Amino acid sequence: MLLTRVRKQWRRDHPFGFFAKPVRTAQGVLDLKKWECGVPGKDKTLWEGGLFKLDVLFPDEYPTKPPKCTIPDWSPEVKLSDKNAGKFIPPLFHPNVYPSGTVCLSILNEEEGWKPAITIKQILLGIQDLLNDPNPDSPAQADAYNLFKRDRQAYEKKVKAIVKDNPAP
Amino acid sequence: MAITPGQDVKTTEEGVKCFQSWVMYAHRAWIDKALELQPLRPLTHLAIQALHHEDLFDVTVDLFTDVLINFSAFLTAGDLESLSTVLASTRARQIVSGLKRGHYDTEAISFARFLLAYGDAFVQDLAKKVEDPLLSQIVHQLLELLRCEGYAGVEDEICAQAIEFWMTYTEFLIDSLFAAGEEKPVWMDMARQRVVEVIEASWVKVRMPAGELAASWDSDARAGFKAFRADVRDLLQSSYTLLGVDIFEKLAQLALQSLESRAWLHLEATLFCLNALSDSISDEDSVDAMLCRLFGSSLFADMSSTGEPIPAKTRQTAMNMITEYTAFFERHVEYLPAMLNFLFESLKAPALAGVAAKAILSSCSSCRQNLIPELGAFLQQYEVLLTWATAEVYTKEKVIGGIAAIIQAIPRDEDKYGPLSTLIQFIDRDVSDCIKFMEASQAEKFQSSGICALKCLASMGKALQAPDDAFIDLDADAPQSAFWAEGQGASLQAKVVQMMETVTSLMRWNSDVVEAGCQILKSGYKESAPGLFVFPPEVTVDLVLASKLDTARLDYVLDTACAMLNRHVHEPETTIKSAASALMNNLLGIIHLMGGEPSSDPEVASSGIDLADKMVPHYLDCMMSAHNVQRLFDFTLKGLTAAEIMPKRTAAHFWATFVQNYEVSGDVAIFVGAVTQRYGPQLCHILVRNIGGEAARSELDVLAEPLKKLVFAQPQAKVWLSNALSSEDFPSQKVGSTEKRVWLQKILNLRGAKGTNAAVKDFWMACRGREFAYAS
Repeated sequence: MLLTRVRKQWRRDHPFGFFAKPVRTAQGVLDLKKWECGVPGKDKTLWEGGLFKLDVLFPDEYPTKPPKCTIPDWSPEVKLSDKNAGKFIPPLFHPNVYPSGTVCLSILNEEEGWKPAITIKQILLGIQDLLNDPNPDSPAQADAYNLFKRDRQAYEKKVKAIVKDNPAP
Repeated sequence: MAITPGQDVKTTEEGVKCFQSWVMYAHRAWIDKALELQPLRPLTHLAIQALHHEDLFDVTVDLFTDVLINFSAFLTAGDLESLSTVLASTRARQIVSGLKRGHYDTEAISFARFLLAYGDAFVQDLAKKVEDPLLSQIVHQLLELLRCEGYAGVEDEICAQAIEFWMTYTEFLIDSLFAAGEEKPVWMDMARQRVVEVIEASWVKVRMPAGELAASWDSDARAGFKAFRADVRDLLQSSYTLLGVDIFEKLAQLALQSLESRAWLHLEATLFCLNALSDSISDEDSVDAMLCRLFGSSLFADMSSTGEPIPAKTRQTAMNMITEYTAFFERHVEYLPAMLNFLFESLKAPALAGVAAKAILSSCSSCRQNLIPELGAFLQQYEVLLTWATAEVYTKEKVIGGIAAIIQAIPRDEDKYGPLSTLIQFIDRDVSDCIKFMEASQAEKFQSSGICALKCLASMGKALQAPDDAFIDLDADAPQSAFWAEGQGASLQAKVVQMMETVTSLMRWNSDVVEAGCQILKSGYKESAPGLFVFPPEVTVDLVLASKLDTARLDYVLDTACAMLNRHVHEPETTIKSAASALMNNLLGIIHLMGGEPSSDPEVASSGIDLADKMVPHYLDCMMSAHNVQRLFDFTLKGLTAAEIMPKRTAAHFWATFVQNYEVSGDVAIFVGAVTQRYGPQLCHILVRNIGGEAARSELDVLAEPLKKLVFAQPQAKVWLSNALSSEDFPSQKVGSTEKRVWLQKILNLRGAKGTNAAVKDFWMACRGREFAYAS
């Protein structure tokens, strides 16, 4: 099966500090279509020292269609009480992450840069690059985008706080 | 190519290499054209003979590793048997025992790779044929690869690859177990026992080096070792499915033994393994029984003690255990005090303080009910914490949030008052410091104490929110507590507001301060019952009105105003309407200051337009009565032509909201009708220009929204759109009047249905020309 091969390929060759593995169902069976991944912040950037969890869902049409990458709500106490604004609170403060958690990256878009040959390694490295190098042409959340455009210093401070809250083990 | 003594080794070596190239060529040809392998196969046994020749060993091992990895189907049953004999031979055993003693020479490493390649290719046989003496010996050798001397990823290059093989082995077992259903395969028990041995060996390998050694490692060594530990964690998680609670019990036992013998690095390794299992465990009762023994032991007391030379890493892994097993503490609250003591002690250590503070917040938040009796101790502990060097913003806001969460669980507001006012007094010290440092012109301390005060207040506000699963009284007639509206409660709330206003008024240019101020306000918006942080709308309005164009995060302030309007629909009509009017007038003032140009500050523009959007339809009367309201509509139309994407998006959304049919009557209906009449033609004109090629492709979906709503709700849209399409400044020459007419008819027929988006895209592409089509 294709996804088994994808997994083998990842295990043989993956960049340091990343992880990517299919989830197990309650019975302990692997669900190869749903992966739990971790992307570390790049060295020598503001994101260094952080680890960001990511859910990757492979559609039935994979690899014709790209997998969908979403940032899950990682922090239980935030989830419990963060209902202040009356709208979705984006799970990651980043200009290209939608309030729903979906990551907006051209290579993940079927109509843009997706190609069936793109590997999970390339996707995760792409997301690592995106962390430090947001794409101002396709903002996905107002909060991070506005701060990024308006007050870079404050934006960077906020990123540092996020890294502190999500430390790499 | 026969191997005979005395023959030229060099020639044979070249022969082996040549054979390797032929096999690899055959592989491709075999796949592509079903090439007959027979002519090549007779040579394999000659190559196997070369394995026994010392000078040819390296090159031949390389050949077979290559074949096993890439083309194991090439090998016949006879070849495999010969290879198995080589892998189980005395020579093989000698090489592996050399590796175990740390002799990582080239020959040994090549051999280990060969062994692993064989393992990977024939993992199923290795698992199933437990009676086969040769294969059992090979399995044993593979296990031995995990027992080599040296640290993984540092000296030992092999064990990481060996773990990889054992992962495959374990997964094969799990698959077989599920495939077999009720009938367990006969070989399963033996194979499972191997996995237990693998875990035992891994437990030794994940052990951290002593402090001095670790300090001598470079970053590559550190990274390599860390990566190995992560692989072992994966293996443990998989193995749980196979081994169940037994493996958990075994590890918990080991932990208790290490604790007793004060073997701190052993303990660390064991806790690391237990942490790896936290997500996998299914049998809660048995696991809880073991955790009770472990957490009921001297573990937390030992970890808190300063008398013993316990490595920081051990304390840290123990702390991670608390975060991994939070749910256990919710089920067994009797272990909370010892655990929290350990966490509070850890706040002293700079390396642990951050994680400890976070763990305190989450433990207090999830066990708030049970911790009410401990509240006094928490408050005392917090005061002690304030004297430590680690009492930084992050630590303080997390811990104070934790304490506030406990207070939230107290049933009566009267009883909440005391502890809440104590917390407020603690925070007030920072406010006083802030003023003091300002007067002393100590800029940095002035800012940091101000930020700290507001962040702590925001954290309190958030923690005081009713939990999502809280009991909701559906009986709306039940009287709500008036505690916060008068007397003590009201003055404490006034104190909070005053603290927030004091700091924000001193530092409106500081984004952290403004943001924390907004968060304090937001924390009460969704509450259904009155509370310390549930402020009347005026408090938000005051903050918004005090913000000017040069206020930091003005966009965020406007977003906060939006959230307030969203949430206060149940407030008395007059209160909220006057708030909305004030916000509307303020927004018009901001628009005026921006010269009516969204591009002069695109972020503020989009937040402002968003605020106006939220006023439709509930607060249309406030909009209507605002002075110079036409500035708003002109501004939003300009937003649609802005080069920046955010104002364009919000402006499109605003118009999509505005032109819809909603229930309004009287003056408001007349107002809406007049605005639509006046701005409809311009709106259509701008939309058509955008869709006619001026917009970027990524904006089309957003721009399609107002178009859909117009077509659905406004009968005149047909005329407006038609005029816009035939206007002289239509941006494209590539479509003619027929195409335009056909497109318009299509859009009108769709009546706002989803197909409009595709029609918009097609038209845009036709206007721009084919080169903008994506290759597909």
